[in-house]
Amino acid sequence: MTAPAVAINGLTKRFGSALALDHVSLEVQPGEFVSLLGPSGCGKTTLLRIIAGFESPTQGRVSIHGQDVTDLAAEQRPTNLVFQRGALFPHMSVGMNIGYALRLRRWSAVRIAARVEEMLALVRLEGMRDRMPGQLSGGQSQRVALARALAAEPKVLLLDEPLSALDLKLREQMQLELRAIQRKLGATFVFVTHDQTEALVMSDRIAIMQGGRIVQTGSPQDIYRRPNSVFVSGFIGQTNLLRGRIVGQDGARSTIDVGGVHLSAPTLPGMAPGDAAILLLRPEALRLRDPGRAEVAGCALEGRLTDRVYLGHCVRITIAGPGGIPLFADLREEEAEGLNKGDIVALVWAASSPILMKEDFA
Amino acid sequence: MLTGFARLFVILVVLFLYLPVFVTVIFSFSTSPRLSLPIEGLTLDWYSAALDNPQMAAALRNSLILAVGTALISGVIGCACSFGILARKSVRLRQGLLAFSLLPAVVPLLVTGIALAVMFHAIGLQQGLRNAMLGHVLVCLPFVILTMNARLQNFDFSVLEAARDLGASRLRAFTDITLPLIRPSLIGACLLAAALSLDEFVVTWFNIGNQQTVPVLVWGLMRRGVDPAINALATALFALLVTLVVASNLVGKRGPR
Repeated sequence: MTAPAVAINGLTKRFGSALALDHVSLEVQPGEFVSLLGPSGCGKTTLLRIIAGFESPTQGRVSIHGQDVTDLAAEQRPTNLVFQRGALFPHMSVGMNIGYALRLRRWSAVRIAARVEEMLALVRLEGMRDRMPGQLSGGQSQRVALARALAAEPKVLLLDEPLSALDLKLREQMQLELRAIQRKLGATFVFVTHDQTEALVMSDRIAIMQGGRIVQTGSPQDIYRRPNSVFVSGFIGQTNLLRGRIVGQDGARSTIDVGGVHLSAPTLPGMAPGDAAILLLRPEALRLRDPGRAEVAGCALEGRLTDRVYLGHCVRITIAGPGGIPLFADLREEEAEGLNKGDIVALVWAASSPILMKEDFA
Repeated sequence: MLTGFARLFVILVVLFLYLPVFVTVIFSFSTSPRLSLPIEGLTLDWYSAALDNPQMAAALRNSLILAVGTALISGVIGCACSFGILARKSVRLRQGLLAFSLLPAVVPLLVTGIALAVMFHAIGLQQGLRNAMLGHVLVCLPFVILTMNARLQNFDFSVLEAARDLGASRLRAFTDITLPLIRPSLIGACLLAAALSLDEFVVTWFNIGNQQTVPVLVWGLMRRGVDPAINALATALFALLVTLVVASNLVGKRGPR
């Protein structure tokens, strides 16, 4: 079996008394696009900077393709970093920027020129070779930064929120472009972001970080469909969390008492009747009750409509269920037609939709 | 538009500021050895007299040595200092370090001059050009740090990390990236230091021993009455200083954003 592209083992980093990373371990396979996702201060950037060689860990090792690089300086590592704001050399042209690492390696001028053209084509900036960084737009700057980092063919490309300074439309376009480039090159990317959509769109695998730890890793689908904590579920998308207590268990299904209403959910191993539980319901999984269709017992809630917001791609309605339990649902526009504040509305969902979780212990 | 009174006031202030310099410049070209108006004729004799006078030539040479030496030494140290200060993460530490390094600028020159003379005597360093040079560096350093600090305020340290990341050694990152980026600011600060050094008198006088610089010589000559060659020397010095300060500003403002 080949060695992982990046292997992080028991990494701990202290800044004075503050614990930035707490025994983090992670493996990234060759050709994989992994995102480190978390709120600011969760340690994701510190982790990336340790892989790049700009910070040294208090404890733990970092290997790249089987080689322990923990004690190597940044310039000796087979990694390159794309900085948040590009960090282009302002006194060098685009071409000089992209060729910088190659000049350090004493490539011949002809070879460098060819490689620079190849990189410019890759990031779709043909003809921009002689521009100065000051003449570039934000998106162009980040493309040059990407080309510069890729020119030296790093074994692992590290990206530190490279799209966060761009406006939404450009950011969405660059996300797809970045992913296409990664697939085309078959390169290993480790991408830091605080934007959950960005992580979902681009990644093969997401590692969610909180308080210096990785709290869950998995494919975007895994993370979205089966979050293992309230933190993860809240970080990936907005969601309904209904707190209650397990009152019955029948093999595959558990019954949860939420404010007096009994709801049904797939059983979570390790949880027994009497335990406090949280029921997670994604707003897009909820539908209006349709008398013509069968519904599963314990997979519906009725209440008075308290709010209705038009979001463009959907209409978000909120109802107050028995005991005031709030529940919001994203409905298609035509589905929500005719619903008004104060109406009694029944929401239903598929038996597989609810997810049972334990309360987080921070 | 300015009212009549305000305009008059501005004219008076400008006259107050520049009339003495103007008079000196005019008299340096005057044929008459007496300082009296109107001017009888124009001549460059006083300039050649100043250059022919071995005392004046030596003083000019010393002044230039001090100016160049001070510019280089305080430029290098000051640049390193302001970089070190700006690289600190804590804002409070940055401000504290900056204030601390600017402190020598508010110490009266008389105190600095005497303190240096006493210290050099105590450690057995003979008075002379070297001591004066050390004094000049001390006096100029805060101003170099201040100008460098202002101009490096927006320096993006991540470009240095980018260079290291792409495989540059520390030295390579300095010569390829840092130096080209700060060169205009550095030259500007050095020119300012040279200008400050050229007309420094107090600290020089206490530490230079029996040598002369232009300001020290002029001071000595003035005590024996006004020789028109002094006007020529002063005018030359003035021209040099104006050139330096203007150049310092022009060079410093250029360069990448």
